[in-house]
Amino acid sequence: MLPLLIYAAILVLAALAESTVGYRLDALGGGRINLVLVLVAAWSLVRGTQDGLLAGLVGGLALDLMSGTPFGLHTVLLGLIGWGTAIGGGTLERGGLALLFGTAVLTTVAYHGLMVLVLRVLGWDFPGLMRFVNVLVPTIFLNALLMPFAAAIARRVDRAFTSWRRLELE
Amino acid sequence: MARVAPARRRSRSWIFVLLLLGAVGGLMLAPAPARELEAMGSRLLEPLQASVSSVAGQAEDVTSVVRRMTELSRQNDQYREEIDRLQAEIARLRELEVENRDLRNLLGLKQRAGTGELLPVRVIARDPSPFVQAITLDRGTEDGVQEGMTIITWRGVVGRVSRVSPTSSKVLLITDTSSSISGRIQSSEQRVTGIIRGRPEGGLLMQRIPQEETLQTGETVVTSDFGGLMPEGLVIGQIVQIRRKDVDVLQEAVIEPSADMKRLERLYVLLSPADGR
Repeated sequence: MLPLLIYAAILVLAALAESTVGYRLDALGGGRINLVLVLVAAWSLVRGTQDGLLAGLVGGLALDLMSGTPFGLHTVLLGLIGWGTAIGGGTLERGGLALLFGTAVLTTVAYHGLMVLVLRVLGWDFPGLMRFVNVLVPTIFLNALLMPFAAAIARRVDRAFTSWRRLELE
Repeated sequence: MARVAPARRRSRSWIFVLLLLGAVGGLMLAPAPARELEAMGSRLLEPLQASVSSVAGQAEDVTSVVRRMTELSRQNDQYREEIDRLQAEIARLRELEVENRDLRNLLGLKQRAGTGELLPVRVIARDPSPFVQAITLDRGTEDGVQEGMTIITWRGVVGRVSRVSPTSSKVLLITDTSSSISGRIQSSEQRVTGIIRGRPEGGLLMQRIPQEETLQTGETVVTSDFGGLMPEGLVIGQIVQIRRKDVDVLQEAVIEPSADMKRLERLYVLLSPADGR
């Protein structure tokens, strides 16, 4: 539980950064870095589906508190993504950079695609295909760039906890 | 070494003194050789004097430079302090100027917006999703903010409060594609109204304007009390493009919002409900 608590604190900080600083860094035609998303996906790859789901719920809840979208949307979406990222059996131990980039691409498409879809169902207007693609493509690029760093953070938190626990058992 | 007796040493001294006096007396009695001797001595000493004098002059210069540098450094510190003080003063005056302009504009805005109280608020966050144009404000129900209240800057309308908590509130900007408010062309005698929505590519679109109405770019669009969502007469923006097709019954106008949605500062919540003016 401890590593998740530490990681939850990191996710809350990431959500804060995303809502207060992230929009100022609108890059490459409106693309935004989804810090929380990549951290949740990386955690899922390191710890598996169950911890991925919990991280997704925590990160999503933090984003929901700062978002104008219907409450719970980010929680549900990131929970699903956190759970689903590790479901394919890919782990950081086995996969390399290709796995990280592939995960970044798939999770970004899933996150934004599902979000727009759910918002549409809830009565919000679709932003338009061109706008959607114009934002999604640079966002995928930025998230893919960030993914190795997120994976490194996730691995470090996990290893710190593992070695601490080993010492405790000895 | 042979020791010299004291009596002999005294006699040698006397001889030396006599020779010296004789030489000086000779030079005084014969000026020409004295001048030659003086000239020769001067020739020999002149380069040495010049060098020493130059070195001394340089040393004096260096001392002077060091003294001057110390003085300049002290003056520099004084000037820097003065500059810092004046810059701080300029910044304070600029801020006062902006505040003054803001208050003047606000006064005008208040006259237009009616009797409602204006609550100054600050943007503390933006929506993390790039597809949602929403902001979070630092005031909530504890300060009297309620759902549906209008957010304005002195330039114009920004949005409406969509969700509110005790200490903060969420605002859906008028540029969001889901936002929909009623507006009218300010200069129109027929009081042409339409529905204003956010465009996916940014800006606003005024829809459902009857085809027979003549629109012009640059015309100001203000809020309409139709629907009771917002107080009437608040500036929304200016028409930048008119879209009309002969086959259509209605026409559209692209509007540039007056408020800078990317740099939202000095925002106010119009505390009186739209229909309670």
